[in-house]
Amino acid sequence: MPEAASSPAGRAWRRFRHNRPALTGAILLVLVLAAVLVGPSLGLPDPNLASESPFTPPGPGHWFGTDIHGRDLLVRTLVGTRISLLVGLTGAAVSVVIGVAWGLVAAYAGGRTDSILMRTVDVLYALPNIIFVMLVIGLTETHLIRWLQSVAPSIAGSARLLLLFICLGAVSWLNMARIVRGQVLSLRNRPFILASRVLGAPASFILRRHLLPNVAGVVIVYATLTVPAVILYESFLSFLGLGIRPPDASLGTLIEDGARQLNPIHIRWWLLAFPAGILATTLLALHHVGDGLRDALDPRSEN
Amino acid sequence: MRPLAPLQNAPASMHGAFLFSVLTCAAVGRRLLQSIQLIQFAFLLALFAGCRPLPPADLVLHNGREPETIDPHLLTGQADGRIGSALFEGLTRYDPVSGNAIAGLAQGWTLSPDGRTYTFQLRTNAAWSTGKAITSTDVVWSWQRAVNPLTAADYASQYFYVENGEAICNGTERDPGKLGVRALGPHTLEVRLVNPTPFFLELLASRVFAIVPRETLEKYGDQWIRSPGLPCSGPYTLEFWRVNDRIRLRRNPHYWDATNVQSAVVDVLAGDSAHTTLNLYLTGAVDFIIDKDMFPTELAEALRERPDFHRYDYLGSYFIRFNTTRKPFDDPRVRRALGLVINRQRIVGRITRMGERPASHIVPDGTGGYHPPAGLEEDATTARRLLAEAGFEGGKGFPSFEYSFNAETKLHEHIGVEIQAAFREQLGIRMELRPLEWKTYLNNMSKLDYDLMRSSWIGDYNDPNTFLDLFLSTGGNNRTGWRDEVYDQLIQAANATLERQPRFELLAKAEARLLNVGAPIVPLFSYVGFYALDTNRVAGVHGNLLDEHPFWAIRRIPR
Amino acid sequence: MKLIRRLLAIPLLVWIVATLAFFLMRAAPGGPFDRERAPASREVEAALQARYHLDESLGRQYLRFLAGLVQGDLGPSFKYRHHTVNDILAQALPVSLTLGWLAFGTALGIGIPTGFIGAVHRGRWPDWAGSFLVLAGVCIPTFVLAPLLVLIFSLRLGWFPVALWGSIPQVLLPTFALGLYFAARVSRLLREGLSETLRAPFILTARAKGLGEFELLLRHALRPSLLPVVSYCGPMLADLLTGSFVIERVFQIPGTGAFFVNSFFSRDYPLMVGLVIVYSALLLLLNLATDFAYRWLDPRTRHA
Repeated sequence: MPEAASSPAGRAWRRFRHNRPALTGAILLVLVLAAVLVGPSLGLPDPNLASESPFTPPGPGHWFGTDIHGRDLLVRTLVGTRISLLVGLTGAAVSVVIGVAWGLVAAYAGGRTDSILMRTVDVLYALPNIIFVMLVIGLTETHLIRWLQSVAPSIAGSARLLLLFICLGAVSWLNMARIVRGQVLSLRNRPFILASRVLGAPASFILRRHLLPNVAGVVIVYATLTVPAVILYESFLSFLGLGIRPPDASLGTLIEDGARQLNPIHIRWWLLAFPAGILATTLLALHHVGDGLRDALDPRSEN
Repeated sequence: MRPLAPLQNAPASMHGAFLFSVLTCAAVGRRLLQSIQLIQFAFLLALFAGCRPLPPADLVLHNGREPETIDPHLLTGQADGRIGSALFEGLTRYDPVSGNAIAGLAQGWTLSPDGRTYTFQLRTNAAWSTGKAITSTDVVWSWQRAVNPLTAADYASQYFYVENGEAICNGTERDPGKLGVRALGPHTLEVRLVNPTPFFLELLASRVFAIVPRETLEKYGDQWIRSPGLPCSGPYTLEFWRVNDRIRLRRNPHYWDATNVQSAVVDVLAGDSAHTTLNLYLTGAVDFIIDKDMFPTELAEALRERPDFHRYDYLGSYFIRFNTTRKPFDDPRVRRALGLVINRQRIVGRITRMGERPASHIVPDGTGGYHPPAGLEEDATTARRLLAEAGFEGGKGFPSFEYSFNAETKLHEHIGVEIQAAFREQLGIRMELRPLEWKTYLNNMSKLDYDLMRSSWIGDYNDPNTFLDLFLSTGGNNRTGWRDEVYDQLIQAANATLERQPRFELLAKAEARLLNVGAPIVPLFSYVGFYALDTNRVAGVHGNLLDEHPFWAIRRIPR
Repeated sequence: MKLIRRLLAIPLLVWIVATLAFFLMRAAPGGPFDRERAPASREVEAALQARYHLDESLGRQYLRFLAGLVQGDLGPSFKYRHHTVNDILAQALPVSLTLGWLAFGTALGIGIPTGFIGAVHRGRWPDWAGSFLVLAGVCIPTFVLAPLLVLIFSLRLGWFPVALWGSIPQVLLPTFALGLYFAARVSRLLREGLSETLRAPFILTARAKGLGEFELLLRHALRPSLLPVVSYCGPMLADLLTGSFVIERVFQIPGTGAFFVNSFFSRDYPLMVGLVIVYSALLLLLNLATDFAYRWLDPRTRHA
């Protein structure tokens, strides 16, 4: 393939492709996504279908075993992963959008704006998240369901999920903002930024073209760390009755259930191993993809 | 009672801290990290200075959750009650074997022929832990304090059986001195009841009737329990209290039965995790798990096989409440139909698996010798017929509704899933599961903001009345909106009857009406308790319906 | 000058946080004295509410709270009725501080070396090895990791006690479990920061000048790379020092983490607000410290 003909995007893609762990990770992610999107419809039992064989270990018929109600764990894990990934990725995306914007502005503007913005972050961070989540869900859920039933009835059942996206993203952006701000603070006095300013470039241009790509690395890394945090926070919310409505389960709640199998008397290992394994694999893959993305997008790795 | 410093064993910890710091320093060798490690080390040194290891106790019990209050008049939880009973005693106390009431601070009593006046003889050797004698004026003062609405005792309703008790509690009678108890002599006490009350002696063993020290309360007010030199009327005194860690009790040398108090120093641990409690027990750090909530339900079958896990019937019921003020649950036919399709055997066999007794009746069988009538046993045909009569043939037109439950444990969700399946398959109606956080759950229950709600009730004393008076029209614990005059009359008539057999017959009639006619509730099963007890390690514990295991009878068996 | 201004701003901000927490808590449904059993009478219920001033208007309750706060009295706990909030903090905070500080040392002690090695040998096997250990802290949630460690090291191998707090053997497992979670983050952020720095022109210059590799890495490259780590250290340390709910539950450690969550569940308003005050004061101080650490680590961050 002739080198000169590719665009920056094309070059980035090529760098990514040559990065083996990143590629493996990406393939794994695609496989997982395919499994969770398509898998449950491929002749597997309904995730909420009880059967007469509770607590069976993995075997033909139930490749991941069954739970207390005899529900097939494989399909429950796939559906749960679907929900958790949706929640995790959206939550991380929301936190990236808000956090990056906030941190960029705070660090670039400096002075009083910086102070006010960062002190707001501190105040919000100090307040316990559960109150917010509880109040938001408690106060708005019934209204949201009613509104959705009139506007788009098919997704009215997902009202809780939508609220979770917003809430979970809204509580995760704080650290992102802080980290982005730290990064930008070290960049803003660099020669190339100063040069841009001298040349009369507007702040928005500088933020977009110079600062953003340079914080991309840290942002991607922290975003991949946010995904699991959001997934597990959702499972914590299930103790408050604010998580996914039973009998549906998310990956987080499946792992939580499975964690209770860690005892010295009788371990039903499949209840923990499979959901936790899927989570670990997905997160590892995400981690390597994040790395690969970061390397691919870095303008300086063009040497 | 100053809490000891958080880390004991200073020499070992200093070595450990030093080692720890050196290792992490060596790992990187950065100046920044070194300074952090140095600060760490200094911090640890400062913290460990002057620490002493905790002397071991003679008995270590795990009591479940951290107690909220151990003031015997104010407490409501079981964990709180065990410690309250260890520190303060009443006229009667619990027998370690049967759980029934036996003589406590009172050595004897006589009952008048009309069954309404008791005369108690206090023990002449009854004394506070300070050595001062306990007299009948102490008893009178304690009872007046408990029933006084300003004390805000939740269980003050137990005093309603005593003359003027209800009036004082309601505020109708302003003078607590009018309570039907008076001192006839330094060791003689007269108690006048409103009606003959067959279970009165059982009531007297409960904490709200315990004797508390007047001078301490008058001097310290709310903070009296942790005041120095607290006088205790019970078998133990409070040595120290470390929040969320442990309470240490020491034998009261002036207790009238001190020679029979088995363990001199008892550590009562507090914790939230059933698995951790089990681990502590299995590794010998805890001698006996006294709280039945600290039982990991996932391990039910495996633990039941073990010889050191003992199962006992327990005075509690698990049931479902209907909100009879909401359509369509205002129609008793609908309620009965729903109750008729529940397969209790399946729930007990597949979900709870602790050997509970499936029950269609609310009063556990054998309570005080009472045998309850049968309620609605599984009968899908009749259920469908009733539902059709109510206008919902085959479940058509039946609105989807919610089953509320508290979310801290998965158990209620699992039971809900079973019930959901039963309703869907047998009746064709749709029920959603609605997990709620604890306070929201309580709030919704008292505001009647629910369709169906998971509930339970633990009996306060060994008599069916403790369950049946829940559903009186005027009862604050009713929480279903159900009112039935006939039921109320039957209960009141029963409680005015002295003889056991006729009384039980009236109660059975009332319960039958509750379960089969009105059906504002669907009982599921009677609770069982499990206690982890190795009879080779611990003696003095016996299973009983009330789940009362007084600390004074328990001792560790030396190896 | 700036330091003084920031320090003086802290009490103001803590007051704002306390006020927000005070009012937000009371917006949640249910109250501290809602129980399964109905009150014995309305008088009893009224007396209980009156004793804790819950029958007064919100405004008056707030003023009462402020008056206490100024004198350093955070009020009685509504749930633990024989203890004041100050009592509970005095007992629980030292435990959490100790555990948190030790876990902080562990997080840095594991995270910094692995991140360092990961950046220097990026993409090769040392990176993989380091990542593997560290990613356990990210991919395995604490409520799985902690019981797993107990199962393996305490129950099966018998090296450590299963729970409780008070001696060095009891400290080690909880510290490791707690530290590993944060070590993962520290490691990733350092690896990122260091890789970034190693591409900078000044490194090329230093190499060209003939500077030894090790000295180069440690003295020149590491400092500015610590920036993202340090940004994270403020909130990380604040979180650590105020206790971890999961660890304290699994190991039955009497720290403040358990109280944070339980006080919400029981609507123990004064305890929750008291904990929030401690947490926010700590957080603000630590963020102040990390902001000043930036200036030392990377002179380019000093404001023009």
